[in-house]
Amino acid sequence: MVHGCTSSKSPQILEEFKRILKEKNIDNVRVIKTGCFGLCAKGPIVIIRPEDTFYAMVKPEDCEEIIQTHIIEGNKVERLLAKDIDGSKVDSLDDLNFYKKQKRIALKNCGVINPEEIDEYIAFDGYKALEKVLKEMTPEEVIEEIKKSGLRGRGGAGFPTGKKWELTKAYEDKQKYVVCNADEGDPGAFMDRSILEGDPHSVLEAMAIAAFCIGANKGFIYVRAEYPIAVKRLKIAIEQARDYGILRKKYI
Amino acid sequence: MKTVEEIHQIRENKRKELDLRINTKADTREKHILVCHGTRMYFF
Repeated sequence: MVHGCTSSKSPQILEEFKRILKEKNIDNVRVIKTGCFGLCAKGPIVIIRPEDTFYAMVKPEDCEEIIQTHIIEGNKVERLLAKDIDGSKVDSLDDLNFYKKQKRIALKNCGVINPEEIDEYIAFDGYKALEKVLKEMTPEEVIEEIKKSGLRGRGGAGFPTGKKWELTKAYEDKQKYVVCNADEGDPGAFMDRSILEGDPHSVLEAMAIAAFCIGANKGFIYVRAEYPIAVKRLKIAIEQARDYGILRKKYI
Repeated sequence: MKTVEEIHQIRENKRKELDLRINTKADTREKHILVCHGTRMYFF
């Protein structure tokens, strides 16, 4: 039975790597906590970059061997390399059939950045779109751009986002809100959880852009208690964005 | 509180630092071990 990386001891793996690196006095290796890579069946997943070596079903007791063989001796730990559906070993994430045909857009930062570090989000162009719309565009121009892009909701209805924003902007009221429905009730649907856990700032940035377009200055996110990591990371992201002055206090 | 210029500076500096995360040919002796820390089912 597959429980996901954190349920399968990835926090202990993280700590074990840190402990061994410290013990061996290795200072050119950093251990990074990331969000979901999207392949829970292979978890816990460990990827070493820049070479992009993909280790699957790693246990805390495997950390010593990974450090010794991969980091110190420069060889891959063959027995831990991920296997494809046909049983063949793969070297990197992109070699896996599951990922080969994927072009990640909304999830591009998931598994790449530490979702609890705003600077890592900023490094990969985070909050750049918000700055651009605030400085260079009108709400109408943004809505037009969103309509042209063909962006749709990720729920069952797939409602066109530009149309939704256009209708909401046209509605006049003294107080408007952006409501992000991050709940997902369909069995096996985890697209919201993945983005909330792996790239929470992208949700905040998108909400801020939506708010600019429709004339809102408050926002709410509905996220289920069964996603404790998502809730925790959203709270951290909101706090960091407020600290940086990207979100005004009480904006979201 | 950061100014827009400070955020630009963070983007530039941090992007260089994190190049090895997305560039398999990054010329560096540094390595990053990425450990998935996502997904904990409520009942486990």
